[in-house]
Amino acid sequence: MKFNDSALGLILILAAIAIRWSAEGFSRLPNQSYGSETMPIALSALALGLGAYMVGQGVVARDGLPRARPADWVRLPGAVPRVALALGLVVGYIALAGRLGFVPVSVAILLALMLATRVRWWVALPVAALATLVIQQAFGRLLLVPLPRSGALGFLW
Amino acid sequence: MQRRLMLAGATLALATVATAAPVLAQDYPSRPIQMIVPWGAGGGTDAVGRVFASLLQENLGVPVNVVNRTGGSGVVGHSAIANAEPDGYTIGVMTIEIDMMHWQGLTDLTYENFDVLALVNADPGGLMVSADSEYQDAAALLEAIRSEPKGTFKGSGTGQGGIWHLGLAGWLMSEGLPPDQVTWVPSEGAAPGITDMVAGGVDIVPSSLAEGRAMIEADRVVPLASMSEERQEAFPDVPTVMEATGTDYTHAVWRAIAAPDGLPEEVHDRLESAIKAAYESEEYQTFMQDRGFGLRWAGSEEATEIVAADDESLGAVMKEAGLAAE
Amino acid sequence: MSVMAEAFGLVFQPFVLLVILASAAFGMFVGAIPGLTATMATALLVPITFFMDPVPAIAAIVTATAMAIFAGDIPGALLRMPGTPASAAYVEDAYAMTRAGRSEEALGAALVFSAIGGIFGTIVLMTLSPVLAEIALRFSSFEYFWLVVLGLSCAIFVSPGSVARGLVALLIGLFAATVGIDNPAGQPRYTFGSVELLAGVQFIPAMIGLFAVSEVLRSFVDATRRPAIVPDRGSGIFRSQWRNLLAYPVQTLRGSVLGTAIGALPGAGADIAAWISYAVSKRFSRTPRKFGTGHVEGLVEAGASNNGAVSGAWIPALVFGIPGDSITAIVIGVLYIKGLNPGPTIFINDPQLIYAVFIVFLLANVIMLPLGWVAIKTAGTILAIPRNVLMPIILMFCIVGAYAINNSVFGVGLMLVFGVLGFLMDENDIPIAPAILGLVLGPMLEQNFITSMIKADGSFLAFFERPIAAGLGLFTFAVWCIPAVTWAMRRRRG
Repeated sequence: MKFNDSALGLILILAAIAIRWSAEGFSRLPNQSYGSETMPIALSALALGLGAYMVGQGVVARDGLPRARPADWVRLPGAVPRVALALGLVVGYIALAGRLGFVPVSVAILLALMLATRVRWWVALPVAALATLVIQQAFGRLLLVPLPRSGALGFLW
Repeated sequence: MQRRLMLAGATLALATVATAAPVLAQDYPSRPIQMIVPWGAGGGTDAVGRVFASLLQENLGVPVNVVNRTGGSGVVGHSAIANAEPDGYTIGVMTIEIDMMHWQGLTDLTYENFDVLALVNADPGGLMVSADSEYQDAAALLEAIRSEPKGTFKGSGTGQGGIWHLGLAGWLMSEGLPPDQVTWVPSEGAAPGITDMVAGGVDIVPSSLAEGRAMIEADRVVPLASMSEERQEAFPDVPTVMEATGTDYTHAVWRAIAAPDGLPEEVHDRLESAIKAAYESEEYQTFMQDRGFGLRWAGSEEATEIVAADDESLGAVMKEAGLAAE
Repeated sequence: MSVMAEAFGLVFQPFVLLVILASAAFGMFVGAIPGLTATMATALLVPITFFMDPVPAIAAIVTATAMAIFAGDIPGALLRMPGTPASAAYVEDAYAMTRAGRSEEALGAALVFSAIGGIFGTIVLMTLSPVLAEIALRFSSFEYFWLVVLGLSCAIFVSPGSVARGLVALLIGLFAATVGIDNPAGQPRYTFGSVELLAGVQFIPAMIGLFAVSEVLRSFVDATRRPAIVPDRGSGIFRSQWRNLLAYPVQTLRGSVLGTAIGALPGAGADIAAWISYAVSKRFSRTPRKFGTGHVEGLVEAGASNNGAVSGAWIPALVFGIPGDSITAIVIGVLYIKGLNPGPTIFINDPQLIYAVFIVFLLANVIMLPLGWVAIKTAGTILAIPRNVLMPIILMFCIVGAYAINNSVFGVGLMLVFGVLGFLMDENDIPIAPAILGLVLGPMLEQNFITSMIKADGSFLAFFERPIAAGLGLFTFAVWCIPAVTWAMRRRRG
């Protein structure tokens, strides 16, 4: 998504209103006239001013009224599904790593991404396995990061 | 392209075949244990956690890894301990904030969600002023706080409603003053509070004397009193509050080793004895003395009682001082 | 002099030198992985140093942190993934140089000028500690408030593109910083009942998302595109650095001085130092327009500055036991365990030990050169890996790095959200760097503003009552006003 100046300004103004409204729910420090609402209020004022300035500038300049259009890359073949796949796989990691363990999920993600970007499977498979092993050993063993573990591959620890 | 994406999906599905094997309590411990520290690397709680981790590792024969789960005034880390599997492979350092956060309405979590294994340290609060302060003993300071208008004096050393804030409010109440007679300036810990006091920003820091030790030795900070029953070994010249103002007031923070509630009995016993051995080790004793931390031991049962008693008394102070959630 | 001889004797022993070498390699490794920090390297070393004598114990920490801070520049330059917020200040320049086939020159500059800044900071530490610590003690929340505002202003003025879009980025960062409970009033904000969000938006996962994940996503837009990263075309690691030093001697000195001074303040560290230095460099440069497009000048000055700050942070730590940053906070603990109690007396009681520590500092910064050379050469080979193989692996490193900071998949989620945000920001020419600085300094800004207001009983004038605060405040106003005035004057004349 590409926004022009006035569209960004408009988004800022809307955000400013939302933040100002949310600040009503925060309270002050006892016996003080400021507290947890001070910073959000200051930020909303800044955003409002900046937004108004950008809308003003944008309307005066050539690009005119608020407008948003899809970026050029959207039309490239396969671009949208590939980006969606990458995002989906990270979500998949969040959902599954705890249950399945780091090793299988990591191999699956690496393999899926490489296949989707036209790496030959006989390259992708060993690379995915090796990279997973290196990451697992470096983080899990050397740096003591408790990566999610799976029973079947517990011997790696 | 479609075929490749399907292939990608298939590999992910394949991964779901792996399964987890159950672990039996008799073999405990058979794999690494993680020790959750609810406060940041470098602080006192982190230091205690790391020393215990290395001592437990020796005793239990498996790696004990320290994991800092910080933020949210300790809520995040304590929740992580309480919500872990009660299988003995997740333990953590519990701090006094567990007795405060539920009164503040931040969480439903209380000490009852934990299996308190042992209390391993306690540090009494203190009263410290800058070396430039006009008040060089606690009685004079108290008199000035009493006679000057409310809010003339400012104190700092923890966040709003933090443990040292409560210590100060509790002391003022015990002296018959309103808990907000001294205005609290929130800080991110004792060290920034002390620095600010020396820079002339605030008047009093009521944190533990150990936290001000270097500045006390540099003659920048003057310790006026210790909120303990007896004088502290590391600070023999500092009177107790009782000696200084005649009021019987004590306030201390502690650190405990805890596990999620519901540990199997064998695991509980194995851990408690390992912790006791670690506590009694020479390494731990000298470490604590060198850092100026207070040594205090209480086994599982006694520790639970102490934690419960503090829960009640801190709740009372917080309600009176208007720091508890309605 | 016999003290010095004794100190040399303590350091130049096979075991100590071995410890230095091993921890140097360890620090290099930890720092080069996005998501792992120098603080983490230090914390991992503590249990090991437990069983060592004071000198090797401190040597291990000093060496590992110095290496880790430099190594953070490696992924920054090669892949646009700064290892620390301090390297984020000049990441655009370094990455632009890499794309122009000058990755070795960029990293060589980071390496050499890091070492120079570090050595300068150490010399200051050895000679001026007590005086500087005394000045640092005069900083209270009023002074820090202005320092933070100054740092944030610098981030806007150095970012390429319009001031308005720089401000948008800053607002995004500052807003993200309000999430959580760690604010002066201790009240949860924008947490939506989530326990994990109580801790707020942690900057490491956010930084990995904004810089690295957005870059990975962009690589998936066109899988067939020829590699945008080119292997080095023989620019040489050390060859051009002598020329850089001769071309920018003032910049080098200015960066080292400013970095050490800011580092010596307990409430400010390498990140603010790097940003302010980068801005100063751009302001006084003869070619300010080249900044951000692969120009080495800012990298020289800010690179010297952030390593100077690392040494500077030890000044208040040694003299008053006040941690200058999270690393020295850990170090103070180790010092106590080893019986080296921080305080003014440390220079009198154990002079040979403290001088041994200084020698280690110098040694660490010297040993950094050959080890850094090896690291740069090794890391440079990843540029030869085809992008469609490299990018998935990098994404995996990002995931694990974001996870490792708190050992929870929540960090991975945070990284993902900021990855998408960074992608959109890039697409709309909104610079990323000010958002990172806003996120890092937002809590400091709020904390120092609110506490100052409480101390001053609500009077704004108090921000100008103390001499240092007044000076910093006026300087900040000048930073904002001078560009406006020159712009207006040029307009009148034109």
